[in-house]
Amino acid sequence: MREVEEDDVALKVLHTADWHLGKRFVSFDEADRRKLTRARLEVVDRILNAAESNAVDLVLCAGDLFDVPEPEEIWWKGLAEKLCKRNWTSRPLVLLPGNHDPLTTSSVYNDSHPFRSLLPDWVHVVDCDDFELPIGADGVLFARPCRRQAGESDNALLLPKREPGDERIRIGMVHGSTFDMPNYQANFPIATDAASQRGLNYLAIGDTHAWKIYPPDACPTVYPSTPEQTTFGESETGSVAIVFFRRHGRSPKIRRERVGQWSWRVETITGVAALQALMSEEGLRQTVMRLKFDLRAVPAEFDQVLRCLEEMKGTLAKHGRVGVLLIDRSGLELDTREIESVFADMPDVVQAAVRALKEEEATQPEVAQRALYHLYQMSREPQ
Amino acid sequence: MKLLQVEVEHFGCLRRAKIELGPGLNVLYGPNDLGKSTLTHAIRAALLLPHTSTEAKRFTAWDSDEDPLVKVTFSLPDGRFWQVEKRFGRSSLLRESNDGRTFNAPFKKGREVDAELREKLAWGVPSPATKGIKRGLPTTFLSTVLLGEQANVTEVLNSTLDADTNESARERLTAALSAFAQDPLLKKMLESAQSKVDEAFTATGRRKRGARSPFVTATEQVKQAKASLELLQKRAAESESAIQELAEKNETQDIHEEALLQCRRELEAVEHALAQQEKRRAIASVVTEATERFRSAQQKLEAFQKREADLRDVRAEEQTLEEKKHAAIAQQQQAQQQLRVAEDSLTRSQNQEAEQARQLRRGQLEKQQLELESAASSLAHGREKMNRARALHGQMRQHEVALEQLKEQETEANETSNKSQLVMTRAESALGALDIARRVRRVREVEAELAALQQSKETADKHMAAAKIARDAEAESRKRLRHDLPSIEEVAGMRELLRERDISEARLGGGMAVSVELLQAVGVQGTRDGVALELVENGAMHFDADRAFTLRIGDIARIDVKAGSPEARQAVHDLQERIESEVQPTLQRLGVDDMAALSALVEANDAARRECETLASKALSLAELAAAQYTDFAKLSTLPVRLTELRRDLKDTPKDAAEAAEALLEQLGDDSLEGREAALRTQVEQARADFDEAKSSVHHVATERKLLQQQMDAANQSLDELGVAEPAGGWESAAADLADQSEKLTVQQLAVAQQLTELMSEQAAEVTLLEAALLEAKSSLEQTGQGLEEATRRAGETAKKAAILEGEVKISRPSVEALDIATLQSGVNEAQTKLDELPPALKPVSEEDRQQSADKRDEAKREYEQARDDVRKAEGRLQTVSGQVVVEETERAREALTLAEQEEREIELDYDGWQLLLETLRNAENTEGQHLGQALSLPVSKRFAELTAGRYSKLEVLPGLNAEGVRVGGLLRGVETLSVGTQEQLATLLRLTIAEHLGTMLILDDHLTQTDPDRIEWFRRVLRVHASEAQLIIMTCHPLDYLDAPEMPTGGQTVSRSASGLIHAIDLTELVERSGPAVNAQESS
Repeated sequence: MREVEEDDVALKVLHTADWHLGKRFVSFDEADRRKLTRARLEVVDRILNAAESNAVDLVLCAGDLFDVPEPEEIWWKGLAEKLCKRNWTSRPLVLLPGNHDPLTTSSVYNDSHPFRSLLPDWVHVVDCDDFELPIGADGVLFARPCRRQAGESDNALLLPKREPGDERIRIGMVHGSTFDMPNYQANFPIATDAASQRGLNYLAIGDTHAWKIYPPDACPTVYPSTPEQTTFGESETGSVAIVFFRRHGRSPKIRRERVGQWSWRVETITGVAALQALMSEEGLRQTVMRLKFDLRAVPAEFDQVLRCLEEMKGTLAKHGRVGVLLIDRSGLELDTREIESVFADMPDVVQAAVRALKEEEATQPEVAQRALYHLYQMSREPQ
Repeated sequence: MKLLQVEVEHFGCLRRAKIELGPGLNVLYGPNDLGKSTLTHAIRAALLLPHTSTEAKRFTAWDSDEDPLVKVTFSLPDGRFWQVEKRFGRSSLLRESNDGRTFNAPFKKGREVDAELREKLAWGVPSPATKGIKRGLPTTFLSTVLLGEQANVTEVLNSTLDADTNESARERLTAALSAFAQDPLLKKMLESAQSKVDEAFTATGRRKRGARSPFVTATEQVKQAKASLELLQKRAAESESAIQELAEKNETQDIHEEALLQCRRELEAVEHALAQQEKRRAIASVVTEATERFRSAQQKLEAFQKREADLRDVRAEEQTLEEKKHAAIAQQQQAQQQLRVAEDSLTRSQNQEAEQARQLRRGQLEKQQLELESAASSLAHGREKMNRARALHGQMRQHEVALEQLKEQETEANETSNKSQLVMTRAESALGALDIARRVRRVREVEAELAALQQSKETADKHMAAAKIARDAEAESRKRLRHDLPSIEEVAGMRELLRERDISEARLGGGMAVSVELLQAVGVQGTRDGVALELVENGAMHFDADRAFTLRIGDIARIDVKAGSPEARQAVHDLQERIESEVQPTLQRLGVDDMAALSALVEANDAARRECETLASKALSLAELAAAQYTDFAKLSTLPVRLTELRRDLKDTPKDAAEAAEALLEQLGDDSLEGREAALRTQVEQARADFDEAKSSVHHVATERKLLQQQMDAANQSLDELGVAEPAGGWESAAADLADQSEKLTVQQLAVAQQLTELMSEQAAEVTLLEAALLEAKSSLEQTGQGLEEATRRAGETAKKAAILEGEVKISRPSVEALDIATLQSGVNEAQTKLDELPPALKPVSEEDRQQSADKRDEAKREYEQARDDVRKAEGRLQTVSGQVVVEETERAREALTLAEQEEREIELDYDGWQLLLETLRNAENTEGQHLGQALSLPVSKRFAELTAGRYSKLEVLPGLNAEGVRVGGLLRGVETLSVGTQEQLATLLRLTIAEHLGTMLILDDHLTQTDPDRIEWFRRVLRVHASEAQLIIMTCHPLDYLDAPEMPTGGQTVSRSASGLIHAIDLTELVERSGPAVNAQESS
């Protein structure tokens, strides 16, 4: 479905940001880290595909494309390879250094960095403060890079002002926090009316990971969101903005298009049935899940929980049902109140040990409960 | 464990000795001082003392410089044979053998020999490498029990497992004495928990910190996460500090900018105020002058108008004062008239006639008062007499009632006394009957006891006969027992070997798929996993093999393929070799085909052995039962005599009394006589007490009656003296009349007193009133005189003041009439209007104020510029830090740390749980293990009771297996209270029992020196039974205490073996070469 008629469109732009290539997911184990880090590079293909399928005239990448200024080779080389596979001679793609990957003398964007030499001609890097790129006869892009990881200057207000008589579609691109974001002061703050102050038809920005459009409609300021979520708690992620600039100076139309594949969820389990229901859901393979517990389970339930967790997490021999699973067991307790009955048929000495451990619960409940659980587990093993 | 051979050279007093030992009872005998105890020392040293120990010096040969040498060959339950050879001061060797004859190259040498030996023996002796271990010959519970020295009875009884620093002996005994630790589930649990604990904890229970510790990875991750977080936090703090500093500098700049603006505004205001202030000052001067002129004219006019008003007021006042003067004169005249009237009235009231009339009235009232007082006194006396008479009459009535009651009590007490006497007589008669009944019952009891004893004796005789039959059956069964079979444990060892071989073979499994394509016609045959394959001559053959296959391709080639690693194949080979050397010879020797047949043979023999034991046990218990019954039969001779005596006592009893006693016994039964007698005795006592009480009561009542009569006589006399008879209307009515009269008299007295008081008050008030009126009249006259005088003076003064004012008005009038007030007022208004038209007046300022404001502005400007520079510097610093990036990274690092800490906690919790579980299981096991003492106590007590003919019922053994004491009549007595002989017997039984349970050899070195022949005989039987279970080595100089004469070696032999091979008699005199002069063998026998 098209929001505007093709004839009415003067310019089509894909706007993306915050790829964070090379991001290290330190909270996860090695295998999951690898999955999540690879996912960040894989989404680039889907972004480029979206650009092609929408036949955009320009691709804007508004900063934080790498997680650090000097990423490992695998990431910049991987990106360059993906770009080189495209034959976009008439579709410029512009890379903007953000606060995570600022333009410095040693950064990946520096002219002397091997990354630059691998890039095809149609890929432009905003490596100067007065970057200006004409887009056909009717449009122009102004951009200004972050040169440091922190700063209080508003790069948007430093873009050139529209001169009288300039009728072109003027697009601005900077990276930073708008004034409504927390800690915006030192993170390249952007005035929410900077676009209208500088006479821009569209201000493409990046930094926050959620989709957001600031009015006025005539000259909107847009965060396209990160294409793949980076952590739990983020919302409105996984998309790019397709911008349709209309003729006769009318306000642009913006369409949000999903490119991300992974969804991030936090689930708190309060019962075994809930866990089993969760485990049987479809589509968990592309889910990053943090599983918490608020559950006190009797031994039999505890077993079931552990079996479910093993099935969800997987083993060396078998893939888990959930793509990436982070388990927080702090809220999972073994209910030992009736545990004596489990050992009713066991030898007296085992029952004596159970009673002693129950008494020990008064002084060191967690350790005693764990010991009881071990005992319970051993009692279940085939003799 | 069994000792097979002991060889000694140059060891203490022994120059040389070599002794072969049998599997059962070995009696090594020889005269005193031959070196038997030294032989025991040698065995102990070989098994326990490191060859390097300085303690070995005491074994130095008496007549040689050679190093002492001991070589002990022994077998272990696993069927292996070992030989330890120690040359003290020089070397140690441990060799292994499959057959006990051919020993391989040393298995261990030097220090390792003792470590290996101690592990194999499991006697609780710690490894020599253990820190803090005591040097010299180690002493543990089992080493003391199994290898105890001669006469160490007390040491054996007091030795305890608790003193062992190594748990191997406890574990071994626990396994042997109780099945607790052998529960397979518990064992498995303990192994699993131990395995987990071993992963994470050291032997001392501390967490492992090595590279393979499970804690290390988690701890390392936490450490790294912490370090990373700290670094980031530092960077974040720097960033935060830079942001904060910039914000502060911006704020400071804003403040200074505002201050600068304020200073500028203030300076402008001061300069403006200065100009305005000058203009206002000029106009204000004009206003002041006009106002001054207007105010002066107005003051003159107001002063004139005031004088005119004053004059009018003075004239009016003058008129008023004149009128007041005339009124004062009239008041003075009226006061003089009133004074005269008051003086006349007072004179009249104070004359003599009036006084006499007042006294007459007072006298009448006082007389009436006296008459009323006299009447009241008379009435009170009458009331008192009547009350006294009334009280005496009341007492008389009470005494009469009490007298009647006492008469009734006397009658009742007399009746009670008679009844009690009757009850007493009847109860004493019943007691006599009871005595006869009791004697009759005793006769019956003795008759019954005599009959029961006779029946018991018959039963005991039957038990004794049955015991003899069981013993004969046991002896017959024992003859059929085979002693050449391996033990059940040895069979289990063989089975384990076969199982290991099977497992090892299974490990070879490689899952091979073999394809053979024949390129020409040739016969191919072979086997896969030991199963023959079908012959193939053309085409192809495919088969799967698990462990091995062979192919023979015509006469061209033979292919032999085996799966598995070289180590696995070698393991199978080794096991197979062991089976061929250890299992197959036994099967062949016994003529059985496989292990199943061997097991059946061994189990059948074991069942037969158990049957023997059952028969022996049965015989013993029957004999014990019979013996216990025989002890009471002495009474059979005394009871008839006693019966005769009892019957003689009853002979003189009257017939009717005897019949009554019989009836009573029938009625009450045998057991109720004592109860009945007690009840009757209580009845007699009660009746006697009741009789005594009734007699006492009669005497008391009589005394009471006498006293009461005396009181009544006294009351009658008092009534006569009062002379007051009871009124016709009753005491109550008469008392009411008298009270009514008294009340009326009191009312009259009060009325008269009131009248007298009022009269005296009236007379005094009349005179006082007249005197007050006179004083008032005098005062009024004086006041009116003073008022007239004052009015006259003020009227004069006012007239004079009016004249002065009138003169002044006349003088001022012309100048006042010339003043133009309106013009002056207009001038003032015009000037004021000009002043008001100026802007509102500001606060006064000066040139100094203006200069100060200018200076302040310059200072503010400097401060602002300084603040602006600071902001630029802060901006520069901010650009060097990471800002939001590091905040995000810090957040991630914090999360990572939390997760790492959770993981670490989880691991710690997991392993702490395992540790606690292991500890708890061990404690539970040990708690059960505390019954080890009880487990040991049972068999020892049984034998000890048998030995001592039931004198000592039970031996109490503590959890550490040290003897606590023996039970005698339920009381616990320490073992030290037993005789020396009994102690050594008890110690021997304890040692025997432990050795039996462990299935290991036991050395007894002259252990029964204080034991009498009967008990020696008993031990002889027990030791022979023991010898069928475990090896026993006895060192003695009295071989016939343990052997029958035919069992002794004869014909110059030094060793004789019994037919069963269980009894070895070994004459040491020929086998032991002693240092120094030889001992005469004849003397020893």
